[in-house]
Amino acid sequence: MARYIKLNLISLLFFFQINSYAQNIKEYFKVNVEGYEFPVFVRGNLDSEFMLLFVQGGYGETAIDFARSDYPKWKKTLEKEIAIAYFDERGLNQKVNTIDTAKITYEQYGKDLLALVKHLKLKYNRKIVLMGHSEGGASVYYALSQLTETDTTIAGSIFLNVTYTSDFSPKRYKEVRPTYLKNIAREFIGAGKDTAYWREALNWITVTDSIHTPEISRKWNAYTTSAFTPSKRKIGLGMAFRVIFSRPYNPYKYLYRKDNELVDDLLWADERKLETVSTEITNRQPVLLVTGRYDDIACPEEQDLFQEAIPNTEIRILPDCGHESFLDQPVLLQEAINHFLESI
Amino acid sequence: MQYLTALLILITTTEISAQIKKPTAISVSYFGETITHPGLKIGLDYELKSWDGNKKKSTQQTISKSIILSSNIGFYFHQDYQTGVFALPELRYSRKNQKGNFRSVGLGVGYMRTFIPNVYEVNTANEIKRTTEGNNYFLTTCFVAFGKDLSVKYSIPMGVYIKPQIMYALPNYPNGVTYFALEIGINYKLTSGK
Repeated sequence: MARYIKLNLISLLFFFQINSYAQNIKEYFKVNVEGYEFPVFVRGNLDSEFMLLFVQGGYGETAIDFARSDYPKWKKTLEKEIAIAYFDERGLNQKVNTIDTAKITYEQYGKDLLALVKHLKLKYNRKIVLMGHSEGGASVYYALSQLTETDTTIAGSIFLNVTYTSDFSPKRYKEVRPTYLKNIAREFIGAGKDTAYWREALNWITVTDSIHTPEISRKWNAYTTSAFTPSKRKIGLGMAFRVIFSRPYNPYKYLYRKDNELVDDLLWADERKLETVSTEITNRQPVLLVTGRYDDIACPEEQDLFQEAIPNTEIRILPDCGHESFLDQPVLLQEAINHFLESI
Repeated sequence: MQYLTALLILITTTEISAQIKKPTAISVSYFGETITHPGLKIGLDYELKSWDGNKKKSTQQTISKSIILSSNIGFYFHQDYQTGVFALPELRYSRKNQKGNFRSVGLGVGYMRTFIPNVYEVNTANEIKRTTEGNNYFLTTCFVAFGKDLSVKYSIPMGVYIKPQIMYALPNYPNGVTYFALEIGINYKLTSGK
């Protein structure tokens, strides 16, 4: 019995010893940038010389909820190795008596990101790596466009499931998306899976060769979504309870969603405007482009366009993976991020 | 600014009007914004009018009805978001049965000042400095309350009540911002009466 207790005590001491080495952090604060207070939530391990600054995708979605509900399941994976700073972009959920609509632009979002990078570098003395998921990648892109070739304000950038072409780009509909369907159809035919179905898809897209009507778009969607079933994140009761009752801002304002809708509309309009603007990136800090093989939003087929536009990029295409790579391939994604950080 | 001017006039007028009368009760309550964000509210009640009415002529049960003006101050603490401090005059219509059970419905109009915690900025010397941030709000509230007057059965000159309420603070995007709050409190009588 005494031996059993002793063994338990030793294992407990060992456990606390291991944990005491990790500089775990969980902080919530606001950063004032040009009179606007950005809510910032930092969680993870400060042992790494790097810190990730995450930019949420989805036009007007909140990254604070994304993090606090642990939607990407990084709390027990990625955050064990590195601290991640999450923030809500300008216009969302905080006290906003009036929303300065002139400042809901990607150019301003890029400036905001750089201001937050400066703050985080001063506060934590870590090298900051930007990581944008989906539409959040646009803010990262516009932050990079404001840096000179040799600027080292940011240590690197990760584009997670980010499209290069915009929703208004003819290239997306005439080139990228038809090529994506042709390629996956050929892959399935080559692997002998549902060959009749994929031959039909290949014949259809070869003849159509352009996604130019809503009907064609629906058919393209039907084919591409049948290629892969993405992982679903279960929304638990605890997750909902935490978001509603212990969130760091007013839940009714978020549920009312008027500011989210406005931000969504303004960014959508800005995307249309920027389609005609050439935004060159000269900054040579390393960039990682990650997407899923079956990501029908950020198709692997357009990552080459990204590589042409941004210097010093590396592409990782994750197999059996859709648009939410952190849910579909968490291990491979973490490996890709670790490998990238080691290479910086 | 026009909100604030109107509000100051309203609160001052209400307070002066109320001071002419003697307060009939003092109330102290837990004030929970979204139930779980704790706060405290203290108020003085001034009975403007009271009368008796029969609920049903067959039972001869008497219902005491009253219109009460109360001047309140309070605060709530929402960690990481804001601390709200408010002055809130309320007007309510209340009806109480012979067992001492009462229910009320009412409206309030007042002022709220919020204090936002943990705001930092990088100053010109490249140092991180804490800044003080907050907002002024024109506050409105509508509520119902359910309670029991303990003086009826137990001869204790106080009552207990629960008061769910919707608060609406202006300005905010697009017009105002809604809060739900729950008050649970006691009401101590300062004068002997019904």
